[in-house]
Formats: sequence, C-alpha cells, structure tokens
Amino acid sequence: MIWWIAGSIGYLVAITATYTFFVQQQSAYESLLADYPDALLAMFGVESGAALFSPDGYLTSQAFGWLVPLLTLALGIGVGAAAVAGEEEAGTMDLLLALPVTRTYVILQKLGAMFVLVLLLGIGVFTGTAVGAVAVDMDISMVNLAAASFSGVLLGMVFGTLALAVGAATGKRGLSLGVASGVALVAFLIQTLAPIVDWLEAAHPLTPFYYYGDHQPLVNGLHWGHAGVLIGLSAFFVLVATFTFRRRDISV
Amino acid sequence: MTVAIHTEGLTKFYGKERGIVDLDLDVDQGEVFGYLGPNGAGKTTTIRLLLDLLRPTRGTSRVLGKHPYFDGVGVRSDIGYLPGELALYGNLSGVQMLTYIANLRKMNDLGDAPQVAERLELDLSRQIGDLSSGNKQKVGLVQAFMHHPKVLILDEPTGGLDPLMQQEFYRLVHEAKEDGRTVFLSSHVLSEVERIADRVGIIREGKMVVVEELDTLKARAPRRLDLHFASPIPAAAFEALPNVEDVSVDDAVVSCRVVGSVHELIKTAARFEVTNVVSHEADLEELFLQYYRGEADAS
Repeated sequence: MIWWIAGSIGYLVAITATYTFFVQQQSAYESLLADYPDALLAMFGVESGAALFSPDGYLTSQAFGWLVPLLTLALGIGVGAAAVAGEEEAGTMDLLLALPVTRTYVILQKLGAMFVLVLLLGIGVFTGTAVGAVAVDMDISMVNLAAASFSGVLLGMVFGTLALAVGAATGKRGLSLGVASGVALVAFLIQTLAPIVDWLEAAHPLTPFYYYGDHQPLVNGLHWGHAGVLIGLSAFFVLVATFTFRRRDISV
Repeated sequence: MTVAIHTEGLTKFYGKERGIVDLDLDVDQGEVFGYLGPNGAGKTTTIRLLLDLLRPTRGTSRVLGKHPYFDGVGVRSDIGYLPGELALYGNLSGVQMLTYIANLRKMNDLGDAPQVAERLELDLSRQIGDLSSGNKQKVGLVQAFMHHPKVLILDEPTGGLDPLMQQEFYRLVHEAKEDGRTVFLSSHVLSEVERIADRVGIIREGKMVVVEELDTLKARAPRRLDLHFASPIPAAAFEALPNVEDVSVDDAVVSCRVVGSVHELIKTAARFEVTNVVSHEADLEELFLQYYRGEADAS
C-alpha cells in the first residue's frame, strides 16, 4: 500500500516536471495531435489540442483526467471489497462480530479506515504534483490543485463505498469487486464519450465522474455542489451497507 | 441457580437446508456442558445463533437472560468465544491482535492474556501467520479467556493441541468452573469432553437426542464382563438373558456385553462355580456411537 502510494507520487512528480519539455515541443505535438481521433483525445480529457499545453490541460491529460481517478478508484474499491466481504471470506469476521460491537460500528470503522487510506493517496497525489509543479515553476494554483486532488478522493470514496455496500449485502468479495469496477468502467466510458456522442451527453450527469471533473477543479477550484453530490452518493452507499449488513447471517 | 444459556424451540434453516430444529436447551451457571454430535449435526449453528452471527428461523435464545439480537453487545461482552473454524489476522503478532481485541472490548490492558499464554506456552510476540495450527489455536483460546468472561463458548477447543496442552486447557476449564463461570464446549469426539463435562447434550441431524449427566450416561453405557468359571460352561445358558448380548465362550470363560442391570446375568452365573469376574470400563464411546447412528433410544 505504502509503495503503491509512493510510486504514484513519484510518477506524478516526474510527469509534472516534464511539462517544460513538453511545452517546448508544442508545435511538434500539435501536428501530431491533429491526426488523433477526437474520441481518443477525449479519453485523456483533452477537448482541443491547444488546451493540452496549458498547465491545467497538461495535468488533466497526464494525470487528473484518468490516472488520479484510476488510482483513487482502485484503492477505494479494493479497500471497500476487503472491508466486510474480504474479512468474511477470510473467516475473521466471526471473531470480530463475536466481540461486543454492533455491526453498524464495524461498518463505520471500516469506512473510517477507507477514508484515511484514500485521503492519504489524495495527499500523495497533491504532494507529487505540487513538487513537480514547483520544480518547473508551472503556473497553477495550489488551492485548485488541492481541490482537484480532493475531488479524486471523493470519487474514490463513491466507488469504495459502493464496493463496501455490495460486500456488506452479500459477503462476496469477488462480486463486490466486479460490480464496483464494472460500474466504474461504464461510468468512465460515458463521461469520456459524452462530449462526442450526442445520446450519451444526457447520461453524463448521471455518472460520478461528471461531479468529479466536469467543472474543471484545476481551473475553477472545488465545486461545493458537485462535491456534495459525491459525498451524498457515498453516504447513501454506507446506509445501504449498514442496513443490509445488520439484517443478514454471517457466513462461515 | 440462574440459567446461563437458554434456548427454546430454536430453529435455523439455511434456505431449505437444515441447521437445527426445535432445540430446547438449558445450561446452568457454573456448569461445564459438553455439546456433542457428529460433523454437520448443528453444533456450530447453535453456537453462532447464540452470538447473533446467525439469525434464527424461529425460536428464541438467551445468554444470562439477555437476548442475542436486542442486547447483542451485552451478550457478547459476557462471552468468550472460540470459533470452530478459527481464522486470525495472520499479518499481526499475537500481542497486536490481542491488543486490537482488548480495545474493542474496552479493556484497559490485555487482562488474563499474558498468564493464559504463558500457561499454554505461547509466544505472543510472534507473527500469527508464522504459527503452527496448534499455536494458532492457542491464540484463539487466549483471546477467549482474556477478559475473564462469565460464559465461555468454545467450538472444538482442543483441535491441534498436543496432549500436554490439552491437560493445561482442562485445568483452565476446571478453574473457570471453580470460579462459578459457565463453559459450553462442543466436540465431535467424546474423549474431548468426557473428563471435564458435568453434563452432555448430544445433537444429531439438527435435533437434540439426549441431555444427561455424564455419570447417568455412563451407567447406561454397555460394559464388557468376563466371567471365569471352574469348569467349561455351555454358551446357551447365557445367550438368551435380558440386557446381555454379544456372548462368546472360550472354554471356562464367558465374555459378554451388558447394558443396564447385571441382575439376570449374575443370577445365572451363580448356578455355576464362579472363580472370577472381570468388569471392563463402561464403553461410553459405544453408547455415543449408537446415539450418533440414531440407534439408542432417547429416553
């Protein structure tokens, strides 16, 4: 876990620090990009070639458009699936629930642990990018960088709590991983293709990714309403997790 | 005397599959109760219902008068539990795991854990994942005893323990009983509970077949008797006697199995010149096997 976060930080430092080099090659890249299909550019969060060379455009395409959500999602889902279902499949849930604690308490403790881990990753993301940005004197607001990192944390929590809920309801870790990753993949594809596929445009606000990045936190800072939607979704999944987990038998 | 564990019509089905059916059970405080039955009979199901890990299909249960669901935290703070299929946090050391448990039990320290671990010759500083299965079992026992619980519920407790450690475990159980605490232990083998249980209950295919004092059961168990005579004896004289079965005659020695009263056998033998009577240990094991197979009557 620690190595994973350290690796991400290292990558982000490196990626951010190569910004200057990238901008120097702007004309070469521009001619190259002209040949790329729009869909592929959209996949990396690039809506027009020129935007790619602004600091926020660069960071979006290189990190916050796909890598950061991928990291926080993977961590959130992994922890969420392990929290109840993983522990149940390992057999340690019997020992834990035989202690004088309520199941609600167990869910909330697991949620707390998940939040701390994903938040640590978010802090790692911020630190890595910030170090790289300072090193090459990139024109980017640290507050907005923090806002974008925190949005990534919230997005990770949405899918983490979804995995937690599926695991709490069923006790099946594989199912929990599968459902949460599947939903994440579909949501990611919708948000990616929404700008270029008309009929997907309407579905875009239905995905958590919309509330993660649509208002461009690297430029505009944190959108409290959008952050609220992500927190609300997480809270809903936690409620589902608690409600279902309290009602059922624990498997051996 | 107050009842430590009480169940009434306790029933659990997993879908259509039977767990236990209409189980009535009372275990008194300060009693050591052996809960016996073959694998899959429903022992673990009963125990997990008491801990609210499972929810009953119907029926009720109480531990020290408290309801496992409505007062789950209260019930579980009184219980020390050793799961039948023990799984521990392999990446923690013994001390770390016991500290984690102690925190969740709101204990200020590790309670009795260090003493129990020392008696079981368990090194708590070692990583649990590196321990042998017997030593893991000891960690399980230590966490069950650490908070000095009023009720100990131990599912197959001596599995993996070597004979010396089993002795120490029996002493721990004995001391808990002396303390007035209740010990409920399940097993599929009689020998595990024979020396420490006051009473035993035998469960078979989800139903309680018999609940009896161990001594009463022993009186009911078949015994092998060898009768030595002064001269060769006709087997026919003993074959038709009540309570007597499995008669074999070797010259002047008659060997048979007796269940219950030996009155008729002795009366018959007295007609000849008896030189010696050898009585073997009551074969409790045989009686249990009969219960397991569903052959013994449940009276």
